[in-house]
Amino acid sequence: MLSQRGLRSPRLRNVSLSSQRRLLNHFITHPAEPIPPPPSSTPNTFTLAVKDNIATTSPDLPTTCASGILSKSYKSPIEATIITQLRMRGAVITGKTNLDEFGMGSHSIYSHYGPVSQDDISETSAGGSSGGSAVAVANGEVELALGTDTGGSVRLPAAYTGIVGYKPSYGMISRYGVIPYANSLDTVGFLSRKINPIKDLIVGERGLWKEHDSNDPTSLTVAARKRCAAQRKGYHGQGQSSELKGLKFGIPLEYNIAELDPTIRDAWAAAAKKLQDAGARIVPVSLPTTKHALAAYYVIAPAEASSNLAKYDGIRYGVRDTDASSDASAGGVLYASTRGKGFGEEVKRRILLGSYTLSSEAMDNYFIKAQRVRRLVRRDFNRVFALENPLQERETFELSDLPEGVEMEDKWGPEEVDFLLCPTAPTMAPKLKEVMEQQPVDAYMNDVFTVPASLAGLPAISVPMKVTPEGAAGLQLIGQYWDDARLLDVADAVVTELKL
Amino acid sequence: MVRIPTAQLSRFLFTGQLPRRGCLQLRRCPISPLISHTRQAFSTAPTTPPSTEPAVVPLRKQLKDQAKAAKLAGAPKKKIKKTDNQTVPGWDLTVGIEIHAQLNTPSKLFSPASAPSSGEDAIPPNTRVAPFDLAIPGSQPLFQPTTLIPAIRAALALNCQIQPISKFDRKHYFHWDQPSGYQITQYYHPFARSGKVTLLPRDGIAAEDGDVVEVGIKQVQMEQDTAKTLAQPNSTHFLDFNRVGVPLVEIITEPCIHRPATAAAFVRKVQMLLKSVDACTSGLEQGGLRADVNVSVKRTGETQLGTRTEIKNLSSFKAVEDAIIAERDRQISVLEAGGKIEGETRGWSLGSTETRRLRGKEGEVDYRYMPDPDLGPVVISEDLVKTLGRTMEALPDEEVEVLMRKYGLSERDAMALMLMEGRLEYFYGVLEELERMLGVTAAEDGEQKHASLAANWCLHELGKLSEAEDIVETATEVVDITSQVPEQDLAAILFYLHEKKITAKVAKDLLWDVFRGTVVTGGITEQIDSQDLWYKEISEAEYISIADEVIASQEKVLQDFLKFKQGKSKAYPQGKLGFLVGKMMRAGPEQGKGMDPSSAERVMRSRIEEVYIPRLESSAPSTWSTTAFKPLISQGPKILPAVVVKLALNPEDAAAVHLYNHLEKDSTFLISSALPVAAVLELNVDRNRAVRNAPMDWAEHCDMVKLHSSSIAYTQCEEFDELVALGPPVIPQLMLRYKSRDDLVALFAYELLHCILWGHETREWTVDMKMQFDMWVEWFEKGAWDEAPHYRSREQRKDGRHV
Repeated sequence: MLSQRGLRSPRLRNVSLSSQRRLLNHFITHPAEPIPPPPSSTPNTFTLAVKDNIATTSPDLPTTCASGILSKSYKSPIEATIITQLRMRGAVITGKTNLDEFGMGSHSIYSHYGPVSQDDISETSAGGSSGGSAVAVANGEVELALGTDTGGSVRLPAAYTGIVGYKPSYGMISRYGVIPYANSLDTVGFLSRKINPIKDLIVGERGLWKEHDSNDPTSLTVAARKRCAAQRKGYHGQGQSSELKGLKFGIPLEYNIAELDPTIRDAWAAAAKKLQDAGARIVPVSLPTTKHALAAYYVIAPAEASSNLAKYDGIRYGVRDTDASSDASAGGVLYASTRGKGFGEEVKRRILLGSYTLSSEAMDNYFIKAQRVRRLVRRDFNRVFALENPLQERETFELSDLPEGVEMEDKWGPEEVDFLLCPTAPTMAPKLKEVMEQQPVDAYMNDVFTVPASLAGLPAISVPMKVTPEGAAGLQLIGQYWDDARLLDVADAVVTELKL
Repeated sequence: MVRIPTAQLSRFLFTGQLPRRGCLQLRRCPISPLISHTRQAFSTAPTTPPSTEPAVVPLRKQLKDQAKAAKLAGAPKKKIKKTDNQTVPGWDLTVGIEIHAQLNTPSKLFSPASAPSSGEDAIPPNTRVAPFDLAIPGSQPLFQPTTLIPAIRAALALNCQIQPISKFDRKHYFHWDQPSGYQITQYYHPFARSGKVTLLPRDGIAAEDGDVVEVGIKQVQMEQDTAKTLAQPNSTHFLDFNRVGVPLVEIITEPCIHRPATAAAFVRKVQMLLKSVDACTSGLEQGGLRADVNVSVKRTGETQLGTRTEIKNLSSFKAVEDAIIAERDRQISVLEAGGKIEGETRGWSLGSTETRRLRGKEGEVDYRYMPDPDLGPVVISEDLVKTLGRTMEALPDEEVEVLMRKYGLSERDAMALMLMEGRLEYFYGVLEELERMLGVTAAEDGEQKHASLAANWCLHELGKLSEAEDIVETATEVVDITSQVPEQDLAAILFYLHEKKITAKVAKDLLWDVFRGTVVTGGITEQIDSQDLWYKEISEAEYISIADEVIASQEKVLQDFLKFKQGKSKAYPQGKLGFLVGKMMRAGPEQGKGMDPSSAERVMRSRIEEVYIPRLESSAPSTWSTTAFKPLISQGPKILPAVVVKLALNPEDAAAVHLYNHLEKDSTFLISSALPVAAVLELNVDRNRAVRNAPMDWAEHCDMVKLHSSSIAYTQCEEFDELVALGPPVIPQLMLRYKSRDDLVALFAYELLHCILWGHETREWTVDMKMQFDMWVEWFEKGAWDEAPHYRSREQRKDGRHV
């Protein structure tokens, strides 16, 4: 039977698995029998929960995206590449997990199948949008869960539920079969209680980092992967250095925001101190565009979402509203009603937002500016990292652009770092009741620390961080592009160090 | 009131000459009009005496004008010819065009699913679809680089600059034929820009555009096609997604076209260009091409272009031209009424006269263009562009030149071959096969007769097949004729035809047999053998008997040949001959089998000339062929006015009718059942009026100089020359004058008569001339047909010849 060590609420330990699932509502589909890997796969199996916006073809596993417009009637004709890859590596799929509809949300409450909670009395947010996957892992039901991370959707629930959530570099893991929310930001994410299973998958013997998928035009080619890896450590089985000594961690000054929960700020400082004690250097860095990043994200993501979700019209698949009024003939709108009834409120809000920012009179003021901000965010990161971004030309930076208070290492500028160290979320997991009373836009604030890495396509990982007096939060490490192997190694070392 | 001489007036009216003043300036009052009996004779004429009517409208013209007026009244809303409707004075038209053309590619633009080409209509619906084509969630676009090849060729054919980097954007709108809710296109960064297309008169540009028009191409972009909607009863629509995602190029011109015909010519030319570089699957008429036009008008002289409207989805060249004309006229009438043009989208249905509003600006879709986040930029290397440019087929203008120069085709036929779907390739195929059989090539055959024969059959004879009624009825889609007639079979037919082994008729029948599938491919020779269709010419005697048979029923036609023989019509009646030969071919055994039209024509001609005409000539009434009648005829048309007088006195005089028709050279003046004697008399009144005035002018001149003794004063003047120039029709007038006046003028009248009859060069004694004149006067007075004056010149008398 399943290990139940991770259960957040002691009361759940004595109830049956099906009752747990009913109370926590973290699965949308959980077939009676898990789906075994294909016969040709490796003998070593592991259990896997899949976020329900990743396409699976098993007849027992519909793909709903937690949306009424697809519902459980939708059986995808295509299997996501990541599912194929993991099943070949022995994944036993236990079910499809709950999420915010199409991945749009930060607390897994905007689901056609009801909100997810991380405890039995349905009071604490599991984070979103990969909340179901995070709870399945935290609950000890699966060894690994797949999520998707567009602006923090894997890292945030990992932080709230006290597990590891990893977002790879954009273009490393195929998105084919991952139902897009915002294509230019979407990445497949991995959730686990430990870093090792993830690390094995990414940089192990059959490391996913090597595999190009010709079905995904944004998947890096094999040549590009090799070129990127050649400039990085940790691939090609070089000795795994979990040595913290000599590493430089940047503390982004702009992340010390007013909304930051003091206990989290303390925990962040304490973590930095521990790393320093372990021989790492802690360096304050400046990411000046941070304050615009969230706004840019909430322009770009809804814009792409409004476009991506245009295909749901109930004609070829999904649920169609067949009321007489909806199928108006000539001059009418065929599927306004289908879309109106099928989508949830948050999705509709973002479609409207995106449609507006792309409209001809708003485009220049929103979408174009947001893309500019996005470039500046990436520039900020390139400036602070010691490693270069292999996908970009080296840029020169004006020192005069830097805010005051940034210490110069030498006359060439401030010190360059290996990783950025920051909290994953500004607060600890809130109560669902509070969340539901919030204005929708207030919830967007939770993504403030996760969005920049998404905009820049950088690898980031959230690891559990102890918060005094009690509770867990997430500590986020962000690395330069394609520095995933070292990021996973170092995160492992950090976790070990913080436990001491 | 000063009378304008009719001759002068008619000279002015008919030849545009202005009068040169005569030797005397003075024009006195008109002299007395014609003698009374002549006037009575013409009293049926609806005109008043000439002295009070300066310009009389001739009856013939009157009749014509009446007919014209009746025609106009009958069809008051006669459509203005399109060629006359290319411009509106005071207004300038500006047109920009967007053409969507389906690219000829093996796959779709963003999925490896194969693209159903237009020739494969039998493909079951929804069988050429990849997940992405249906917008299956999680599927992604996979750009197919092979689609670039026809796209670049198309852009090169349009003289565009290929952009090294281009990008794809999403254009959003909801329609059930667009599964993603957006179309992927190249809005911000098209792959080709700044091209131009040169249009020549042979492309069909408006005459007002002169010898050449250059149409600027703003950009060419790649984009996806939509699904096909198949409407069903009960407001049901079936969707066929085979077409969705098939690559298109959209070609956008600068707003630089100003004539409707030129716009249509542009679309036609683009179709031809795309086809010639194999970039395009099918033409406008087959749905492989669609055109949208942007139309605006402004008053001439204004610099700012007017507000434009867009007319969507024009599916024929005619529709392009008609829709532009209609929309231009609508905009002008709105503006002239003080209104304003709204920027809107309009539609056009075939055969209508007005565009109709589809949606206005407020209903305009905001396409919310967005760069596609899944698709990277397309990088096109210069090497690829160069290679494609090098390996490209000849462009249409060169091809037309080759067809005309090397194969001797007419420009019209060459253009037709270029424009018809697949017909040019078919022509080359047939020609190659034909040349193989003949063992010649076009270059060797100086006249290239076989090439023009092949072209003629590929265009016109094949064209007739498609017009056959049973085809139109049974086929729902346009049948591709060329696919029904294998090249080798047509070549075989043409080979035997060219070698005169079969007749043209047999050749045409064989073509039908092939088309209907009753002859197996490659079985032409066997078919001719088995049906015994080889051309075996019938004997000369058989030709003659058929010719005689035909003529027996067509005696009337012989009159035309007779007239030619007698010099009464200038041109040989070739058309009538053709008509008779046609009858012969039909009258021959088995519908002309074994008959050669050229032999038939030869026999028919000789039968007419050697047998029938002489027979006809000898069959005239005996009284008319008397020796008395012959000299009358030998006088020629000069006595015509006198005959007219005779006719006027007795319209029933059959001999006079016969004589008149014999003498009259103008076929429109001939007496017939359609034109009875009375009408001919009226026509002659008009003609005579001009003739009548000239002697009066001369008489006036003579009055002025009558004190002079030298005849030179009378005969060397403008008036005299004019009378001589008018020729024989003046003679009766002279007769009348001579009779009514007894003065000096009469003395010189016979000199005039002689001049007219014999010319200046024949010198006669005045006394002889007088004798001749007297003969005429006498004959005229007496009026007996068999006693027409027969004058012998001095030389004739000297020679002792007698008639």
